Amino acid sequence: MDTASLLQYLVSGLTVGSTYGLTALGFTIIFNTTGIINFAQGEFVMLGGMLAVILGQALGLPLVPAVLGAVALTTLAGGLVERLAIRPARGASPIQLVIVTIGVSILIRGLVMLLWGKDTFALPHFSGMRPILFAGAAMLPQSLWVLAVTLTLLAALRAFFTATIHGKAMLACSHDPGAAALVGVNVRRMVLASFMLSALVGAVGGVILAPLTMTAYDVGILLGLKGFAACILGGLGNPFGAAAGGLILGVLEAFGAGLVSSAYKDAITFIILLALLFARPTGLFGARSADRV
Amino acid sequence: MRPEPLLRCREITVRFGGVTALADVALDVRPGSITSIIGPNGAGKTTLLGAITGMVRTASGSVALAGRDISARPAHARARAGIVRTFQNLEVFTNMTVVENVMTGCHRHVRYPALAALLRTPRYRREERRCLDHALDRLAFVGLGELADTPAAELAFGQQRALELARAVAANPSLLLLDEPAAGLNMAETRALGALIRRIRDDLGVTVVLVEHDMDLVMTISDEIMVLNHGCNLALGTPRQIQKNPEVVRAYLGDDDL
Amino acid sequence: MTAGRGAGNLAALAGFAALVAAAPWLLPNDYYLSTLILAFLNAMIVIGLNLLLGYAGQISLGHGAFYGLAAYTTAVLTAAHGWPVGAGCAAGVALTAAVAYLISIPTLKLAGNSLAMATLGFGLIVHIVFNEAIAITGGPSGFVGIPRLALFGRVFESDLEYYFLVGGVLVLLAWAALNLIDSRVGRAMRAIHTSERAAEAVGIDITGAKRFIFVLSAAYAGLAGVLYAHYLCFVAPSSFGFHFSVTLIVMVVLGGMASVWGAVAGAVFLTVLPEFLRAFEDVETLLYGAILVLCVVFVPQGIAGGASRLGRALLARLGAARRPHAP
Repeated sequence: MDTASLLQYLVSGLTVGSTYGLTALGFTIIFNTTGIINFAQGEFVMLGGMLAVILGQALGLPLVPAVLGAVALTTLAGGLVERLAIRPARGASPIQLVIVTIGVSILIRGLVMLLWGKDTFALPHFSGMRPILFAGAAMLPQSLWVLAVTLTLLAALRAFFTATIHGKAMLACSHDPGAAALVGVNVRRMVLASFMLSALVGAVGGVILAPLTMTAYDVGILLGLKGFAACILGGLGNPFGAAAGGLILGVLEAFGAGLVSSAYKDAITFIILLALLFARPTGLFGARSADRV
Repeated sequence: MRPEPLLRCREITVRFGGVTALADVALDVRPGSITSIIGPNGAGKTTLLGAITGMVRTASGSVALAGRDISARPAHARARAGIVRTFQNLEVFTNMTVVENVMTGCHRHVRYPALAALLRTPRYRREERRCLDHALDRLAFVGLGELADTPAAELAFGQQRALELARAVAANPSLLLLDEPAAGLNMAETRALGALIRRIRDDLGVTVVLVEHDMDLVMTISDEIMVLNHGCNLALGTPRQIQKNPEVVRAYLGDDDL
Repeated sequence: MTAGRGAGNLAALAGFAALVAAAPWLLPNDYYLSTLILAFLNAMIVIGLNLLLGYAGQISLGHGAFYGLAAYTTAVLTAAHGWPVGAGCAAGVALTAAVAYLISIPTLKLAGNSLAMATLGFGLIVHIVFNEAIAITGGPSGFVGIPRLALFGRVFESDLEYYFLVGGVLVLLAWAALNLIDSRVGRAMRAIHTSERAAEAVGIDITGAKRFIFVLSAAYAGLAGVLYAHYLCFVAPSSFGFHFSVTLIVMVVLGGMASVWGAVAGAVFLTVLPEFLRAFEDVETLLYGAILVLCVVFVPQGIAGGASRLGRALLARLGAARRPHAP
């Protein structure tokens, strides 16, 4: 096997892995503030891509406003989900809230299908499709966009969690909501903020990947699944571990497909994932135990 | 000549990370006695109960019940061998009724295959009947007979303590370990608890080991007291001997006060 | 009261059996009969899954795979290898239980979301094999030519016969589950749900109890799976995927955690609901999602919990109405 194809696999793995990682990050943001595994996380990713396409095609917006608008609208949708579905069900146990998020994900999927049908859409590449050659491997400019946006977003979130009062408050909620309330953190507002933030992160993940993989009303199911796998792999308690889990998952998949068999690439990925999970039940980067169901 | 001890612990050492919680601790418990383990906070009393029951991993040392070494057995096997414990913070099964909690305590001696349960065989019905009668009997023993069908979660704090005791004695243990059973009880309740512990020993023939902070209770019901300090054996003796032991006094009051 | 629990169970069971027996005459047409057969098959899986999730507190997102494993096993053995149907069914259930036993060894050491992930991963892997091992399974387009169920020389030809068979098996499985819940094993699994420490302290072998209940609930799914294969005479991977496993969990929670009748109610409700929603065509999916959300918001204890709460409220009102007449 030559280095050029290995490099090729690595790049395509990291590209898809970025979206898995951002989806996983979204899972941990909500889980850490509420203890809920949000099954609608994948739909946020789908909404990001779909809304960008719709804003561009139907309203004729140029790419940049369409992308920004899609992220903003998805963030708003995240807030609506919390207000209309999660908040009315307060007092329900975590597993019941998980069922609520399953209902929400079906609802969002149903709505998008009703409005724009079952077709597959493509978002234009951000800066052309001429491949960049690097050490014998061909790389689409969009891959660079994906990696750059992901890294920027991770850095921004890191700064948000460690340097701003809102970020610190959200972290406090994740450690002990009761104590956070005692020191004056508005826990309910934090829950709302966590849904909006993870919708934003998910939408960004969706929008940057959509030019490469196309998008449709039902892409959220698989992306959500991979994102969940990534965040368990990385460690639920640790947002950046989860993001790293996504990158690892993407790379595993790319090498599995390239070197072994594309039919069984998902099976290979999950076998490796299970082996890692049995060896490290709390995830590769998770110190805290993650059994809050 | 003292009789062969029911429980014999030798050189028990427990480490949590770099901290040594117990260092070479020894403990003998005479059959039919009430033995108390006391000591300042952090002395390692609850850890010792954990080491005896197999819920805390020991770095070294041995535990023998009635002459048989059980150091290698997991927690549930030690319970089956006859060592049953209660917990400092209540661990009542809140998803069951009061009597079901106590019936769960019968797990080690009410035995039939799961298939017998699925198919409701005569053996299942006979054993379940016996289990229920035994549980009701033990509930009456601790004074909760009236509350058999109440959801356990609805009991008051003191009643939940009594329920834990009923569940423990329903197992017909040979050795019962009680971890601060008087915590959170008022004076009258504590006195009743003392009488109950005596009856557990006298009427049910169960040997009792008690970890407790309430000195009145410890001094009135114990046959023997073992004092732990900083994870080491400090003293051993009758309540009277312990009360007069200058080292014990120093451990409790601190060197500064002397 | 304490002794009356068994009698109460028997009364409920008899009532349910009577309802099952009467249902065919209450239905407007035969199409509903086949919907009800599928609902009962789902109810079998959900009763088993509820033992695991509602009683023992252990989640599985892989039960769709157990269902499929048993269905494919008997399908392949009977259609491709000429096994008698009875033997194929037995092999299907046995293989499912054996696989459940094997994967329980590493899997049940995990808890909570890690356990969810592990069982989910198992389910996905099995699903991929159904899709890709085309030589054996027929691949994505499915496996055809499975014989109709025949037991003791009798072929269950009509839907009505099959309905009574499935209904009878369901009543038996519900009976066995109720028995188990009120036994030492049932108490052990409920104890593990609240406090593993306290369960250990009274001598319960936690690993053994969890494994038993995991294998049993997989066997429930397996039994439903073989009955499914020999009913439709056709199986395809899409019936046994991640989506179905999640639907099973939703059935447990919407029906009511830790309730056998809740499991039946949840399974029947969520199997029949899409049939009614089909009339709404485009908004079908939308309505289904909305109903799930509304159910949890308004009936958080599930159908069983909601019904028993309603029953208690009615009894209380009845009692209050009667009291003034007492001397």
